[in-house]
Amino acid sequence: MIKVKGIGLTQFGELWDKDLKDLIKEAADKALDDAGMDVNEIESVYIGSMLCGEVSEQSNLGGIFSEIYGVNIPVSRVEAACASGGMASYTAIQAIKSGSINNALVIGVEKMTDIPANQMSELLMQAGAEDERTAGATFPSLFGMMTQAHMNKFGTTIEQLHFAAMICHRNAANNPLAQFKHEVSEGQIACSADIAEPLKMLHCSPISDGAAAIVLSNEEKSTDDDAFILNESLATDTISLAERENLYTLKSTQIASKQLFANSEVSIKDIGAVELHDCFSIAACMALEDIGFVDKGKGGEALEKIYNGDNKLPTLNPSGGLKASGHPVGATGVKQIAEIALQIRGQAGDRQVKDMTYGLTHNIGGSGGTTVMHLIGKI
Amino acid sequence: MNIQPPKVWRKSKNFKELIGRTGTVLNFTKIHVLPASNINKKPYYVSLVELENGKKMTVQIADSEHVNLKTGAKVRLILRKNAVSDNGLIQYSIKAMIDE
Repeated sequence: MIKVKGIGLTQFGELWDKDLKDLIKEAADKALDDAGMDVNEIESVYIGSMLCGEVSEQSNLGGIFSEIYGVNIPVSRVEAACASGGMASYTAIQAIKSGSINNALVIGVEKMTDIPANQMSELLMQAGAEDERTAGATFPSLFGMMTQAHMNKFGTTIEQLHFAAMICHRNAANNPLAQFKHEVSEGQIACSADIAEPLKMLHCSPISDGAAAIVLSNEEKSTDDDAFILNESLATDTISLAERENLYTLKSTQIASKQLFANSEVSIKDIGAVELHDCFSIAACMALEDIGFVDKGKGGEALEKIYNGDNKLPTLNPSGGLKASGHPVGATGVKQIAEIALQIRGQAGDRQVKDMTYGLTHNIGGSGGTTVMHLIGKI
Repeated sequence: MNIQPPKVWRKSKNFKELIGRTGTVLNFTKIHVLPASNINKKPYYVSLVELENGKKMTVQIADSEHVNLKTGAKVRLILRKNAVSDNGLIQYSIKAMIDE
């Protein structure tokens, strides 16, 4: 079994006094400390980062890790756009499952606020298609078109999508490491600036710095509160929206979710909390449907129900999600696993979800070209 | 956007088969917060259009400031100046014009 043995998180936000190396070190130090392990016990390191070369002008992250810790172990950088962190975790798990290593350190890191937002908007479109870049599309615009498609097909309303942001901000108010530790109202969302119609600023996740790290170990020993990776899945889909059957479904998420629960004793009804990839409010709505928590077209209603405390649905994004906890893109997928593991350990403080036995994470790259999911629980 | 001569040349090879084609707006959005490469433009529409041959493409709507776009609108593909690089290279690209 693969235990989440150590967890380390930095603050997410505008961290102007910390560079890429500082963030890697802080998260890794905390994860090793939490695991009660020395770096020399780690056999391989996997670092998820999308834009370290473009923003920090720093590639070759293996050398960075070696220099910080004075070790010469294998270190791989893993890139899958906003799913880089989830993909780094997935890759580490495959290495442990292969039997070649027992202890891996996974780090997700992104430094985004060193450059102007309009340049970041351009860089993030590396996760889109060439035709989309030529058209001047931005990520909010791709998800804006998905929002319109979902509204036209299912009658989803913008007011229903407000609940995605309201849920995340309410949860982030109890997360000391979140970028925005305050609630937002329907009125504030409706009055926020237009980004890409019909999406407003408060439907969009922010630009953030931050890092997250986990130590994964091949271990059978368990106390009642240990969190284990029970399964993981990975699926891809076309990079261009134009090549998809429709804009209101993420096929990669549907496939990954089906794989995650295939041959598992855990059912989707057992999930107590989910950290899903709410880069934009419509993404939360579609993920609830495509993962299978609700029928297709019912995501908008589900968001409202979750906000109003419906206990038939899981707790959504207890960390505050991408929207309010922040979205340092390479760090997000690792932070999601860290958050669910904290919840299972019963160490989530004021945002602790009651009776947590199983949780899952959902991390997408780009507009859904990649989906990585992890099922985490007690054994 | 990185405007480089080989990229511009490579992309221009399929202009001939696209110019003049007609299609229908499936979905669209108006972008208010613009990326660095389009920072000097006014808010513009980007649309997913379905061409008469069934092929779909994501394309910018030409003369967006004079258009009130609707789903189902008929469009025609045209060639328009898109951007000029720092070293003076003009990039043309396929855009969609509302077909009155």
